[in-house]
Amino acid sequence: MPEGQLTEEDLRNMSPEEIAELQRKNCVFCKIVRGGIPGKKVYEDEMILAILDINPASKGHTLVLPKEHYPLLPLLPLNLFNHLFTKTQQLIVAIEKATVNPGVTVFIANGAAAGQQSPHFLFHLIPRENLMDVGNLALPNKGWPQAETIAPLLQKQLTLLLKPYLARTGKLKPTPTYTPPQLPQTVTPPIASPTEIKPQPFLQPIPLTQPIIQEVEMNTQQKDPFDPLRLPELLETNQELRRMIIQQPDQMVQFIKNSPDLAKLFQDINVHKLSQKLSEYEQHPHEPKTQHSQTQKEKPTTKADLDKIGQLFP
Amino acid sequence: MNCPNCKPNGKTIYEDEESLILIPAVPACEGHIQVLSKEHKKLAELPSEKNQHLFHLANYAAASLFEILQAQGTNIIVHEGIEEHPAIHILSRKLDDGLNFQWEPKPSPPDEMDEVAQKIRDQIFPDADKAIEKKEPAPQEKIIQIEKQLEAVKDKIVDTPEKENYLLRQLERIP
Repeated sequence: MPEGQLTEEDLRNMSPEEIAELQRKNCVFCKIVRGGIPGKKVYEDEMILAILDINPASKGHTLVLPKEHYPLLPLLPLNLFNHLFTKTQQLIVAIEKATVNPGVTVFIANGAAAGQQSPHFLFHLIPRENLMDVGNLALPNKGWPQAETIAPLLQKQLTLLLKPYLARTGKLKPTPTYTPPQLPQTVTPPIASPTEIKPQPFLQPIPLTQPIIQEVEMNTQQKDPFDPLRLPELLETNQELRRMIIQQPDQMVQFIKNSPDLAKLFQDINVHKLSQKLSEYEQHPHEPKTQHSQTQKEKPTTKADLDKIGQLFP
Repeated sequence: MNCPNCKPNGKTIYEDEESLILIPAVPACEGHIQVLSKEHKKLAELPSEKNQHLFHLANYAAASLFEILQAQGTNIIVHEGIEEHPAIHILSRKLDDGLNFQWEPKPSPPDEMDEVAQKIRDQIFPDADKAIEKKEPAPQEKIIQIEKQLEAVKDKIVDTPEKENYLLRQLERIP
């Protein structure tokens, strides 16, 4: 059988990798990238290529494509994605000036149902004089009666999908659910260094007052006292905080909710889990920590401390 | 300002400091979502990070339609420049949805295509040609002299580019 003549059965027997390879081999745009088919190149760098569409909707109609074969937009790696859309900004300006047009329509089709005609992801930059000059590019006006009911579902799904991306780019914020009342700033807490805090008998009830953190923190170090990385250190040195977490986790959760500072310190930490671990630790200490803390408290948070806390994360 | 996209009407489904995603008050069709920059600017005028962010949001907004509306495809459309503050429109598509964005091709002769391509290339690198013209060729003698000197120190040149350039510059200063 001559090469390139594959029966349906051959295709059925192929692995997804083999099919992808076959697509690449037969892909018109991969051939253009390799130079096997000539194209009117407008821009080229190591990652992307821009060529004129051979069936243009208007003069200067340009196709922008990654050189590597990706079938759909969501499959592009992050750096390629960013590069592609940054270069698109420059291409838009260049096309507008070159064709003396006020604008360019960016048209992306994902999937054959959306009008994608080649399995090699690409999109169109179509120079426009106005919204009417190219037929069929205007938005339809069919309406969407169920929009109202679908909106919450879409919102939920979108939040889910966006989470990894936002976390990776540092844009993820804790959802603002509760606005805490402002605590009176006039009361200056008595300043006590950690060494002055006398160990109390373990089960003695302690007065439940809001913030213990400041007292210890203000006089020990200049840096942000509520840096989450300092939590392990605080748990070591601040007996009251520790006891409170162990004995009154519910109360503690309440405090954390009410104070933005505490919320920052305890971000991503499950207080109940922490409480459980600490009380287990209190009952079966692996090493005499309390004595050590007297001499170690000047040390910054160590990697081991962080790892210890890391294990408490859900 | 009377820009409809500065104070958009609709149901917001995501918002951050610089952008929002919403279902417009008058959707064009099933699964119509808009991604908007809060700045009254064209995409090409935004800093590249903001532009990237908007397209990432558009990409994820499109992805959400597959699960919720069983979309079989999605379109992302921006009327950049025709609208001063363009929205990125995302539409959910199905094979039998009756929508059609296929434009009528207006083929033009090859030489006209070449001309347009050249014009766009010129706009992308407007100073490329001038930069080449400006470079004055060094006198032949000087080149030979430098080549000789280069030959002499060839072994000593470390092959990092900065070092090489530095050495070359040093050599050029020798009369």
